[in-house]
Amino acid sequence: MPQAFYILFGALLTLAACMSLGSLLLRALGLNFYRQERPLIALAAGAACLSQLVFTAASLGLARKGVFQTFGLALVTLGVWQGLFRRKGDGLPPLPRFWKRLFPALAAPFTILYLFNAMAPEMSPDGSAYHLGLVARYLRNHGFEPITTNMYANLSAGIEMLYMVAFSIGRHSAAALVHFGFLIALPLAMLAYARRFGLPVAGAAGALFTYLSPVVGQDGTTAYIDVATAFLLFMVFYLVEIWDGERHPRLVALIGLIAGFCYAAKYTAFVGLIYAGGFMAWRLWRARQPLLKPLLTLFLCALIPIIPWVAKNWSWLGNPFSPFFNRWFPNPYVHISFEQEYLRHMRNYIGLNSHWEIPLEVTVRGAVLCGLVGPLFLVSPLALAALRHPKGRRLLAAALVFGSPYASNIGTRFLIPALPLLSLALGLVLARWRLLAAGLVLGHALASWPDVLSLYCDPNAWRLVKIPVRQALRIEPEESWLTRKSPYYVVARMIEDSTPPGSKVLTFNQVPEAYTTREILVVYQSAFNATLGDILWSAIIPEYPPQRRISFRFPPTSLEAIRVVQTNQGGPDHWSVGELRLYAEGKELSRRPRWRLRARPNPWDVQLAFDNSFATRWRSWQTLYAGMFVEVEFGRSERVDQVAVECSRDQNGIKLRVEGRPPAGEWRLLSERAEESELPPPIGLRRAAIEELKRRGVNYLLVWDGDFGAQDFRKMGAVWGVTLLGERSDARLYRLN
Amino acid sequence: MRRIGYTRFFVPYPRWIPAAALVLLVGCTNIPDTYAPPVQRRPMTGPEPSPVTHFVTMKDPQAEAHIVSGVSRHLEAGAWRWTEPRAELVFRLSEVQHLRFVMEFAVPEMTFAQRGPVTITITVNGRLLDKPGYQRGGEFRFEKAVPAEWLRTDMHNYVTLEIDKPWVAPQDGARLGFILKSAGFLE
Repeated sequence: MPQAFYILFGALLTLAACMSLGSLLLRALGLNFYRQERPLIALAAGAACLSQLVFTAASLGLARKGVFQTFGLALVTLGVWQGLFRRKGDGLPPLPRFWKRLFPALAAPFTILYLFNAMAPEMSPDGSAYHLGLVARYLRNHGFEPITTNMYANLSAGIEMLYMVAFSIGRHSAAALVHFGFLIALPLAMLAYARRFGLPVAGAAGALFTYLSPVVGQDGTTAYIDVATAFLLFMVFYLVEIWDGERHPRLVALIGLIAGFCYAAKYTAFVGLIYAGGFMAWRLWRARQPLLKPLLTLFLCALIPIIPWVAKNWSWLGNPFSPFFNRWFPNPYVHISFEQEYLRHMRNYIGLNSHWEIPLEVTVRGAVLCGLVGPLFLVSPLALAALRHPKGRRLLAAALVFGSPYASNIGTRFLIPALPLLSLALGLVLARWRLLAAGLVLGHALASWPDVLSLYCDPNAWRLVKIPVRQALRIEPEESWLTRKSPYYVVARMIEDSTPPGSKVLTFNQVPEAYTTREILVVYQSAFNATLGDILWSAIIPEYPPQRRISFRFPPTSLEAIRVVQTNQGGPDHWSVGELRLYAEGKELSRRPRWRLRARPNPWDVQLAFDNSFATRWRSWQTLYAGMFVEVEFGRSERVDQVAVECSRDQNGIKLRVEGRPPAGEWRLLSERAEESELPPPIGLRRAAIEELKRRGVNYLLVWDGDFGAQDFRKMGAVWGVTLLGERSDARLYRLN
Repeated sequence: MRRIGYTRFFVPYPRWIPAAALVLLVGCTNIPDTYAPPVQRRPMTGPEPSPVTHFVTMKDPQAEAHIVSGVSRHLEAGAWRWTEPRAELVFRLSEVQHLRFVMEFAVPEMTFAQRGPVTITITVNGRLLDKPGYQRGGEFRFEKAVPAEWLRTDMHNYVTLEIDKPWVAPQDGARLGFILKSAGFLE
């Protein structure tokens, strides 16, 4: 089982390196903790440090297996030599005997379930598509490269930096196993917190509520990042509580580092820093102590893990927070309309008829919102009774803050950051009725076990279904298991087998990129890809080709520049221009190299309105607002008496006028009397679209049967100019001839 | 020269400047926002573009340029025209592969009482494309692939539409064919 060995080695080396680095940091800061909590705090702090170092290595082109392995082993050796892994110091108050037995008795079988699933071949949708897809790409490239065609590459990826170390040694499952490490650490941290603050029963019950929750187990055993993020956020809460009692100034630096790393792990976890800053400010203000120094320390330390990700996006994409805030930081890589659509989609999953269905969906069904926390959490409103307890109030406040990003994405896993706090609050309430608490824990364990879970949840719920021992130990080869179980894996392999290295494949849905070395361009994942999709669809959506001609005539005028201005407001239309033609005395003006073209918004695509191709068009890629324009600056004076806009029929809301700028003059209105006529449907659109794709470096097209236009590609392959190379799992791979 | 340390008690040091500079720098990238015209994908339409294209709708202002004979010069209801028993249209094509002849038309219900079922003979450049028959009145869409070798890009392409039984209008005795909405070649 050498593969299983490398998987374990990769994951353990990564986690041990984190703990070693973290322990060194704790020693440098002179911070002492209880023996049980020290390794957990070291893990969180060390993860922040190791992630930072891997980021630096990737920035310098040093992301190589040899570098990571040598550095990891050196760190672990240093840790052993320095005695950093020794259990020392005072212990936390013990758990009551009953819970001391119940906790491991229930946690052990789930730990086995989780361990084998984490070790099994990785095939989670996002894990194999982009979390590890990007990691694999960085490793192939020995570091970062500007990726402008995949918006997931723009997200902060602090946890993926840890995965990169593990992946370089043990490949995909080693990365998932690192996540499993955080999954183990989370309930231990909850337990340590509760024991420190005298809430052992609440801690034991709460830790089990979270740890046994189906979505936590499923997520934490894949190369996702939600459980690791939840662990980091919980550590922020935990350390802030310790700081509140001790007010150790160096603790503030540690909290800042971990809170900043929360942002580096996942954008939505920026709430960790807000919570820490807000809580500390409130406590200091109430105690009439100086605010500035501690808060400055907190935020400056938080910036250490934050700045690299902000700077990376800033320098490569022109938007420090890409793929969001594109209205504030306009850039050619992510369309504003995509961001709006994406956020809307994340708030309204397909299949969810009403938000009133969310409670049942996230607790019992688990299909539409991708996972379930378990029916136990139907009683979570009981946690409100914890408001009577000071610790309960803080737990609930933190749960509220950490859970607030759920409003932006209603997927079940977005509840995971709040789940530990909610679980502890629930445990706090139930601690008074120990038998009830034990009964609920037992019931939750039973209801979360895969065989029982299958009896009541939706058959398509995202969940663990068995203990894949043979697959985890690679007794059954990875290839065989993935081919049997993942319809997407075989598609990735088809791409790998049928296309030469360096190929670009355009497709409409994500593919497990971690299993192919080819560049996959998914139409919704960047502005560039979206334009490719628009070109392709223009050949099959009747409203897309330029069949509408809007002309403006005016007295012959000498102009330095001319522009067509859109003056209407509101959605849902986008403004688009297939071709902008200028005339003098009935003759179209040839487009001269000295001309300068400009557009607002989306200036970067303005050439598409001047390329004389009916397959392409300039699009605003955002809904209408007054003042959008497409402009030509002639470079010298030109006489013009007519402007014609050839455009698509999917924009009934537009209202246009033409403005001109005479030599050394100001912009003035030339005409707002539009004459409209119809153009015949262009022929050769399909082939023209394929030619445009090829001009942009795309040579292959992957179409799933459910994709829009799939039938057209099957029936009209010769007309498109594409050749079918292969088909797997309802997906067809075409070569562009 | 940095004298801020020396003068800070006398000259207010605007601390917001670095922050403002940082904010202003956000969005400073080397991405241009004006561009030269790109390579043209097709030749420009030229000084006098031909009004004859590959497809025509009867309401198109250029529709008459496509009519050789047998189609009324009067546009009815802003959308259609009567044909005579034999009509001829002309089209220009920039390519000839994978094309279908497409025609949207109507045979009025009221004319059936007089003439019964009709057949329309369609030829493309003198070759018989099809002779579809219609057993009832109503709106129809005819489309059929045209072999590439029948078509040409260097010369005009002629399409004739001939109905076997003309309808004689009771008001003026005009011999009419059917109602034409659009016709031409599509992919």
